[in-house]
Amino acid sequence: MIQLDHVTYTYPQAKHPALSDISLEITESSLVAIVGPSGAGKSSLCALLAGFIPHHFHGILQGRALVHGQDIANTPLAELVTHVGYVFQNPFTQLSGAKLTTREEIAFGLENLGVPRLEMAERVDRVIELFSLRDIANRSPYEISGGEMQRVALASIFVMKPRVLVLDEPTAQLDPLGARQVFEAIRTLTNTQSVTVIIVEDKTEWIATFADRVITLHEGRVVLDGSPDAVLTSPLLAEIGIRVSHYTQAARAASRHRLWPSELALPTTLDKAIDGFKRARKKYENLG
Amino acid sequence: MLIGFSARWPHLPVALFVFLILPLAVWGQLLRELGRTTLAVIFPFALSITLVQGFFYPGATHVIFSLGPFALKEEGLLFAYGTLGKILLLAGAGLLLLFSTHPADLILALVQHGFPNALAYIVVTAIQLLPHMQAKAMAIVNAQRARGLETETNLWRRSRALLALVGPLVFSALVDVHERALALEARAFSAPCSKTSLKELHDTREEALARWAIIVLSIAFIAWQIGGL
Ligand SMILES: Nc1ncnc2c1ncn2[C@@H]1O[C@H](COP(=O)(O)OP(=O)(O)O)[C@@H](O)[C@H]1O
Ligand SMILES: [Mg+2]
Repeated sequence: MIQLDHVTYTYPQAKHPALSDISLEITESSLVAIVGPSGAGKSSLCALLAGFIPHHFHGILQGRALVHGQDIANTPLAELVTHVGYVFQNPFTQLSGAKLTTREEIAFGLENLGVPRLEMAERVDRVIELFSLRDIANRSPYEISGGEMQRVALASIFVMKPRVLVLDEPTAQLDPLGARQVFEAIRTLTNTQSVTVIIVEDKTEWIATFADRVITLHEGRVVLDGSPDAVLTSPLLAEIGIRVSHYTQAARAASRHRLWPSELALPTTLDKAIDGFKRARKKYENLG
Repeated sequence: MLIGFSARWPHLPVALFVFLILPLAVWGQLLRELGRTTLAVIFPFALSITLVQGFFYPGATHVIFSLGPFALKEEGLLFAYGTLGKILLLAGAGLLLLFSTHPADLILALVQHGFPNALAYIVVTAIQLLPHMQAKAMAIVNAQRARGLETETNLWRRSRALLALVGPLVFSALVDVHERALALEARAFSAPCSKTSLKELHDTREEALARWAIIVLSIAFIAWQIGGL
């Protein structure tokens, strides 16, 4: 579905490449998380997948990047956006600014694609149901909460039926409640729709629970790529400055005092931590 | 409106206001809003025009009453009445359009009649986003104030503080514009096909007919007035 072969990209006038020799393939896995410290190239990778690089940001792109077998560099942006949807961090700047109600806002992309009115209304109403937006469908998109706005942004992109959704820190500017609503909306998507979600996110507990694969970027390179359990417990994370889950930290400290069962991998979530500590206690009781 | 302006009969603008604009406002349930705003717009004009023209209209002879060296004259009042009538009609019609049609709907109608889409978009977003930009500017001003922008007495420091105020505003506006542009791309704004619209502006045959009738009537009336000279 997405294939990158030795992709290196340098922004205009930049000294160092933002992406260095990246090769990866994303097939039909439903949820891929991207983590990395600030400036690692996460947003640049997203921009490349959506075609903003090289169609909006010029600069030097080397290597080959394919979406659905089509070369990103040779496919017009207007066509790429129908394959790869993009949701930004700031819910506010994503509003078209031209619509009076949330329902019309969601329809904006379809209007631009020239979808006939009847089909458009049907598709819009379907995503309104899917994302539980019925209560705010007739309100102004400017008079709803940040979490609702971001769900509208998600719906506005998903209604265009992309096969891949790229979400660049979609909850970073939201309060905890708003973030939870957006996460739930993403879960609904991956559970019920056939769409691949690529999400930049630093809430590692959430990633550990829901992602199928985690890619770690550092200085424009892929440094780790694998299952959440493997990647999120790697000692490398702390070295490059990524916040590691408290459960992992606690278990790593415990294992130094041999309070963590040696045959068990370090935990990434609360549930796994509790299981591990229970097993450790049982061991001690058997010993004593 | 054209009819009202080109007419030589001074009562016509007022008559049009009373018999055309007001009934339309009643029909659209906008009478109170329209009445209040029209009065607010008209009143300062009315006062100044009546006084100035009433007393000082050049060449007026029919004195109604005099107050020391000043004399209120009939021609002046008539002129003031004629002018006010026109302003009333202009304001009434303009405000009626403003109250009855949201700018976004107006632009949608224009686009459907061939107005360029990108241009229309710029106009609508400018109207819609202005209050939000103002709110943002105020938020930054307040944040800077909370850091003591105005307590500084030294001129050099104050101008530096002012720079601290302008900086974030310009920067965030630039970042916003950039992100907005990308977000629009993501919504296929530059797709080369012809656009459709979720919202239907029902333009019935009667409405189209009415539009043409208005245009034809206006042209005919102006021609008649000019020919009548
Ligand atoms: N528009 C741009 N122009 C020039 N350099 C940029 C631009 N955007 C990002 N960069 C640079 O590219 C690198 C990667 O940035 P980015 O992809 O935004 O990282 P992340 O999203 O992981 O924080 C950084 O060094 C950053 O300064
Ligand atoms: Mg980023």
